[in-house]
Amino acid sequence: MNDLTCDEFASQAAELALGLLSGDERAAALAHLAGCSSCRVNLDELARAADALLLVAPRAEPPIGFESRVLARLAADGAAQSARRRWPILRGRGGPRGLAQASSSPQATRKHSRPAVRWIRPLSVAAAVAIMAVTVGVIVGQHTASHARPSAIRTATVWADAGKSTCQVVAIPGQDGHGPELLLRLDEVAEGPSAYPVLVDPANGGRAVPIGMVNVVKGLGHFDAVLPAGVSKIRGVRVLEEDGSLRYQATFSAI
Amino acid sequence: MMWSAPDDALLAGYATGDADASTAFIRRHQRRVFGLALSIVVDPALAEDVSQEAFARAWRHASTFDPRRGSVPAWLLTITRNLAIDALRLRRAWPIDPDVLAGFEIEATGPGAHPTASAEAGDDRAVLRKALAGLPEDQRRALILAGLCGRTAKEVSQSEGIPLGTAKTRIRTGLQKLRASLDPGALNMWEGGS
Repeated sequence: MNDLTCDEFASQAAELALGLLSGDERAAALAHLAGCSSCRVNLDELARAADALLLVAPRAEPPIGFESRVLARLAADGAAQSARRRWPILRGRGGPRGLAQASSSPQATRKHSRPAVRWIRPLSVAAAVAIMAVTVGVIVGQHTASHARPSAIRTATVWADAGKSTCQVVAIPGQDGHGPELLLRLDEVAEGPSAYPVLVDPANGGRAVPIGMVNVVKGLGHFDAVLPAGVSKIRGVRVLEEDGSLRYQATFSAI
Repeated sequence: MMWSAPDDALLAGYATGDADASTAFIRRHQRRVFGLALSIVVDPALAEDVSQEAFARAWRHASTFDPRRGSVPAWLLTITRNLAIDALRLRRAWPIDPDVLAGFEIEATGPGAHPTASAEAGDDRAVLRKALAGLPEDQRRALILAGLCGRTAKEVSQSEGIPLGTAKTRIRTGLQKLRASLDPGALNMWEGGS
């Protein structure tokens, strides 16, 4: 395949940005992009204009009941998805963003840093029981309580804002081919929206490992992620303020 | 409050399956999603199917949204547009141009002509409407057919009865002008580069 010149690429850039090129044309254009940063910058700008064009489309009121039908469909999709896999791992390429997903530019290969988040549907019975146990359990001390269970599910809950805000964490061992997972729930006195970094502390005293962000909306935040190590290798979980200071530090009791 | 939450935060809540966030997300975007789908496919029943699928895709692929690459509405509308085009191609249905263009009400986008334009003064949509209105009609038609209806340059040339090269030029020039309207000076930089 002959590489395009910048002029040849420029003549096709608008059609590439709009997703109109055929397979061969697209492949040639992307091959050029792989080695030309200036054309990538220009394509990104054209792609933004192409995206912006969509915003001028007219708006129209959907039929009555549309919202309910969408919600019902999401519930059905969620149930099916949950049956296949409790939590989808962060997806990379192949999403719905046509040009961006297929482009070979560095911009297009970026992945959203937020892990896939599912809480309500995939919450296992064991985890739900564990959270309930923590919620109604004995508060040990003003700021921290931990609760280890023989099943190796590990839980902890901590408070902030003079006990008005709560952080509950549940670590679930890997099973059925799935890795160990962490569930975290925040009940915040402030409604937000806020986003807090979540880190796990290794049991060996090593440096805390960031695993994602928990978003708090209307005072409630849910987060789940695959743990970078087995449950027994995790000492606890930290949730940081947006400025990096410590908001919660939950420590699991020794097994 | 949920209803005033930023788009990014609302999308995050939508992805978690939170009931309030999901309702707020759908209500915030349903008019523009359905409006775009209807403009492209014309058939209201098919437009609802497309819109439902768009919201389902957005839910499933929320983790791929990257705010550095664009806004939530643009991301959601890109999904909608692609689904609408796929639906039309699957049905081998291709609305005639006047219907499509009338659906976009481009004729009503002249400076000061659109009733919402002044209310939206300063926001991107108002700027875009003004920029589109400022394009020569042939470029505007070509850009809408290509950018909103997903027609290739060849299809634009056939529907407009113009040579393929002319269709390509109109699409390219139209998008470059639109881009320049968003970022003054960008057009010159582009044309000067090689």
